[in-house]
Amino acid sequence: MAARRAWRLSRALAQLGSAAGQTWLFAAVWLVGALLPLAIGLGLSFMRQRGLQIRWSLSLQAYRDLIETGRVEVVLRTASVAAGVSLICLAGGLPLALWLAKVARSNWLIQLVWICLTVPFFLDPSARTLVLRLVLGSGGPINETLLYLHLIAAPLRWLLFSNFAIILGLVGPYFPNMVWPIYLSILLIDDAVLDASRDLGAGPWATLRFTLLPLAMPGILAGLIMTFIPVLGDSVAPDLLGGGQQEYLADSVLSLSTTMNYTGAASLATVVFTMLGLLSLAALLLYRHASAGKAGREAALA
Amino acid sequence: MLLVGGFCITALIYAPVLLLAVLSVSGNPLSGVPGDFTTRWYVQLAADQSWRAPMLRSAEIATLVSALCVIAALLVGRTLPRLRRGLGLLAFGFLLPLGVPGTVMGLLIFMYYRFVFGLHMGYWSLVLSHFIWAFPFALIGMLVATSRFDLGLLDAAADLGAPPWRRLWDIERPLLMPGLISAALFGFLLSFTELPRSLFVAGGVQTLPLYNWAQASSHTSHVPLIFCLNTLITLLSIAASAAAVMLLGRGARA
Repeated sequence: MAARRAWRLSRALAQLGSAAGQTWLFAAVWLVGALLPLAIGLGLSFMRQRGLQIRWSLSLQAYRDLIETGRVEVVLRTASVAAGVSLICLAGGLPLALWLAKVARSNWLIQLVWICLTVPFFLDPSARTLVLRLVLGSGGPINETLLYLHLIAAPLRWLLFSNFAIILGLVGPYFPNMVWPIYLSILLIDDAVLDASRDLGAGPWATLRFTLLPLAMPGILAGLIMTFIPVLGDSVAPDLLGGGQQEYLADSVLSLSTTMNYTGAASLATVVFTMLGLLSLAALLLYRHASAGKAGREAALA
Repeated sequence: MLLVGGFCITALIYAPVLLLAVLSVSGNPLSGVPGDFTTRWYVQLAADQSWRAPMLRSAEIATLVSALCVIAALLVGRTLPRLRRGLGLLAFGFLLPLGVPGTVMGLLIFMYYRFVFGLHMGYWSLVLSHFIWAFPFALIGMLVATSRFDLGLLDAAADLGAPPWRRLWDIERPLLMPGLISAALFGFLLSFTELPRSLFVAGGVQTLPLYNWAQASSHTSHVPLIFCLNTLITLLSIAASAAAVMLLGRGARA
């Protein structure tokens, strides 16, 4: 028995020398170092906190406080801004991705668009937002121009420190998050499939609707997720363009954390995770439903 | 016609960046109106000391994160496509942090290491949280290179009598180079500009994005200097991105 265990142990150690073993070892470190923190939020949110002491007793107090202080509305407000940004990015990104993957022929133009869609990942968050605040402000160039042209009598107040400003400030930086996944999924569609659709008498719109969009759906969903989530956590646009009149998710997380209300912050994180989980589930079910419908139609045709 | 929307949004990214550069050589950048061109702010930036320490700190952290990303992406990216079991599970686990908003991730990393392990935040937690942020991107870049890699090439080399180190150096290295470079670049640049996680885990260490944010939110005399500093940084990241795209584009066609 002992010999067998020792043999197993030595085999396990030998596997650590192999690349696959090292990968599993790294995965274990990743699990403890990067994924377990995600679970801490859930655990801590059910704790009771008095002063700076966290007491290990089960309680729903943190959630009650969360509802009473209106943080749930903050999450919903931020989510609606993020949804707006995602939809605008989708409307602009889908045609661009389609053009980039299937229509564009000029190599240097494709590379130029690639570069334009890579740089935003690496821009400083404050640098890309700071200028918008100056431009949209009541003494900024837009208002000055409109006043000069006598199109308005007084500076437009809603340009800055509003949901409009925040959405405007977020659409640009997170646009590549939408385009890249859709672009890759359309790139993977074989041209022969599209040709076949045309040969069978489908017009461009029918090909788009019944062939291209269903095949690109994983990319579109990935794009929506990759845009929605970072926008949800963005701290700079609400701070510089929102003007602090309304609270957004990042403000809430920061203020709960700086006031050392850690159980409150943890329960907020849990609410966000629950919302993201429900949304992913809905997206998955929608996708399943769509593919099942397609399979059903194919079966009926056959 | 349909492309107009896409190009408008792309313009929305670059118009502020362009204006930032123009304002950095304008007499009164805080008005938001260009004009009265001068290099005064750049001269002041060169004389100013306050941004140097954060810049250096960020460069150090980004270099460390970049090195970690290359090593980890090389290890995982090479073996992941060859695994017979657990591929989906591992890929899901490694990419999961992409599904967490930045500020929430920062908070959770802070609470986990502070309350479970009793550690104080600092340099190490910045490196760690930036690594957790950048590694999924580095891994995706590496997987693009390794999943196209034909293992038959290594067998062929072995049959022709190439020793292991020659197989690694002459066959794997050139084919995986685009993945390595993208892992290094993503690691460096994502860390260099990371803000939402740093807000929670910095523990008193000031990185460049933290410095920039503090300057941008306040109305101090440093603000015009931020325009210059960020114009220079933006130029650098555009150059780096362009180099990466050219390189990866060449790799993709080869």
